[in-house]
Amino acid sequence: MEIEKTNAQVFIEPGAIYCSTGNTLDALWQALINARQNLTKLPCPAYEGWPWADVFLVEEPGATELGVDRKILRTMEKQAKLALYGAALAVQQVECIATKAIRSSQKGLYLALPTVDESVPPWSLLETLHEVSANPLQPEELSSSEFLQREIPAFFGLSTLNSNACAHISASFDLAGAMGAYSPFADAAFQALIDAAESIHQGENTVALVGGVSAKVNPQLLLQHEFWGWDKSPARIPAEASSFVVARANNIGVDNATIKPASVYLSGFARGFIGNSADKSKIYQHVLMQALNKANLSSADIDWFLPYATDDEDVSVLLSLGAKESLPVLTTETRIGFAGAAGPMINLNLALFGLQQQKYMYSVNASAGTSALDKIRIQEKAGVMRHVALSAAGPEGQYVVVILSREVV
Amino acid sequence: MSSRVVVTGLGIVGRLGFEWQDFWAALLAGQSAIAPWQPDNITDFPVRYAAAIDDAQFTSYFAAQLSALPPMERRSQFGVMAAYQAIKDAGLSGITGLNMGVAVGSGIPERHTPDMLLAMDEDGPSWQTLYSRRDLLNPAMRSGNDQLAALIARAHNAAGPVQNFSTACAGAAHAIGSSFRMIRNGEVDCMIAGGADSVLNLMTMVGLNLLGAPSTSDDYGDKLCRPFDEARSGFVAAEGGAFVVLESLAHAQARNAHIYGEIIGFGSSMDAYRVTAPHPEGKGAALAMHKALIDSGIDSGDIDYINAHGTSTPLNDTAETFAIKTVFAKNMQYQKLAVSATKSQIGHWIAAAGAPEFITTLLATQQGIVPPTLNLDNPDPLCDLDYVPHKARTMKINAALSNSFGFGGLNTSLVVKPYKEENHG
Repeated sequence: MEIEKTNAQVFIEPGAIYCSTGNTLDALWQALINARQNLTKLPCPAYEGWPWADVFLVEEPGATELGVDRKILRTMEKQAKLALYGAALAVQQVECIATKAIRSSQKGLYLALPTVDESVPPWSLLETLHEVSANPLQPEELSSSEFLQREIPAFFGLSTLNSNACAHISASFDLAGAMGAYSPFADAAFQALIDAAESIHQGENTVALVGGVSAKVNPQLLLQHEFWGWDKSPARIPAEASSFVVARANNIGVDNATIKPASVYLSGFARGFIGNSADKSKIYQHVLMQALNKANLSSADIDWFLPYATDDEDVSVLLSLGAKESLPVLTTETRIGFAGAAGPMINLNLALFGLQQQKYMYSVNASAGTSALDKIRIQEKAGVMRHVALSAAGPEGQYVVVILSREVV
Repeated sequence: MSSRVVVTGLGIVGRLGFEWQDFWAALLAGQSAIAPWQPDNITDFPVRYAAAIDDAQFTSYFAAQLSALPPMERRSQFGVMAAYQAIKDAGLSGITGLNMGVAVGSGIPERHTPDMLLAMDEDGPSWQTLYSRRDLLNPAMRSGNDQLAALIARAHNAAGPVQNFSTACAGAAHAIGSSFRMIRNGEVDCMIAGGADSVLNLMTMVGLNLLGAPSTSDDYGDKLCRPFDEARSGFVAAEGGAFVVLESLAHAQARNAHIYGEIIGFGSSMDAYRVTAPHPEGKGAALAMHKALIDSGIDSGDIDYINAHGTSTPLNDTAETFAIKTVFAKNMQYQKLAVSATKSQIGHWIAAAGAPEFITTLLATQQGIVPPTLNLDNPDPLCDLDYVPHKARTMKINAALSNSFGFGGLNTSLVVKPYKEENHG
């Protein structure tokens, strides 16, 4: 095994999206422009009391779509299936991650995951306790090993382990290289991207699959949304999704005509933490400046900005640092829902698509705030673009910025 | 820019002690943390031994600090206190800034019986009932599993990167490795890194037991954790928190910090095999060690000691032995290696495991003494390395590896060496 440290740029290729608009970037792009929200009515009475009648659901992939034996499905919750499906789409799409010409030890995986699908025990266990217990409020059966071993699904220990998704993806696509798994919110997606790029920079991976997956919509999710105050925000309607990109060295050392050179690279990044809301502007400024400095850019060089799960303030800070007054800003949460760790990866794919096609989308009236969603429109425009900045925030205070740049041919 | 990365603070909270000095002394004395255990109100649970922290001792020892904390899981309390100890040990209390970050390895949120029953009312389980009692629910189930990382960052005014790793039993080692990389690459000057975990709750232990992972044997009492022994029968679960303070050498020197040792390499890999078992020849484990060695720039022959993942499960210990023999095959270097399994003394801290084992590896290199593998009475014929059985051993260590391998084949390896001022990275 050779590991050669390189100062060359790490290139990023669009991989896959799977969200309420389908599984193609083009469909997502069109849905955003056409203001089409593919909402689904919440499926059962368990959701009574939710502030939203409709959410953004996706179909649960089956064994065929996932390319696994049906027995394997018992070891996976929906989030692991979404992750594996997104990875499968990306592997189909991007030759350099699929090719046998690169050894599996040089193919990495960096994944952003929710905590677990449902932290409370299987609902079926509680229902059984209600049926069989003399006193279901204090069921003696919970002190019975025999009862528990019988009623809890055999693979519960696996299916509730979020990193299980990594094992499935690694085994399915023969990825044995350096890896990382991060959780649980939007910032985790760009933590994964940065560490993937660094692994390639260090020479320990040649390519890496980088992805994010949302939690599945389940009754318990409202607890989390309520905890963070998201149940009050129309921009936090729960969405299911997964999304992937591929990070790669440009010179992958393989003589393979089907693997084309990439053109967009990760030019800058930075990450910080806002422990105290009084410091928010200062941290936004510090992180944005750090990312710009790493990219050798000024804020005026940024052609498009896609924040995720942040507030209006990071746009204001970027403008105060000298960004163009006309800087197009796109927020996607209002159209495709709040998809946690998958969200920034979706934005990243949109940015890559835009850089390749030399067109962008922007939210009109975004400054009206998320309480005026009906006034927000998304428009498309063609234009010369070289540098795109994206941000993602975790509700605890994590704030991460990445900058993509397109090579000038 | 490439900075040397040194360790300047240690913090451990576990059954063997609440100060790293007590933990280390217990390891060298060959003490075991493993004791009889049953979850909640059960008396016939098949898993009969664990290394649980005594709640009364813990809350008494940290009474002043715990009273100031918001509601959180027990495992997070262990983590916050371990991080506090590490910061205090590093002399960093009160020193804050943009260039300090936090990285944590965390596992599955704790699921105790009272949490489960919050949804129950007389008509059966109801989400509305759970919502109405949500303030009583375990905070990590409401907020998310990065709560510990954020709490530590907030408590110490860290404004740099804050990461939460979810790589199962490799989580804490991943957090340390990632922190090392960020400092080495110049992204940040100082990181608080480690992990905290507890699986000693009803739901998680039932789930693990159904997978056949923990030992259910009643034959060996507190000698149940027997890495590399023919009679090993599964891991012995434990709980705790452990953190280290990592700094760039320049940052540490500028403030005259005490330096315990230097971290020089990190590698990670995946088995690409099965979700339920490690690769039988330790393919992924070998790759992680190999990548760590290359990252460190030293030769495999420079390694004198390996702190093994050594879970005492039938599959891991043979696979890890195979992997070590693969990586150290040149001139049969594996024959001169000392390999020991700290889990034989402290049990398996799951997502946090890499942190106490990294600290053990670091102290071993600093002090030139290797803690033993306990209970290795009849080595498995397939486990034929020098596992330092029964008693600690004094030896010179030029460099050492600390292995952590997560469920599903997610592997890490860290390389440390004693700090010498003349070392050049």
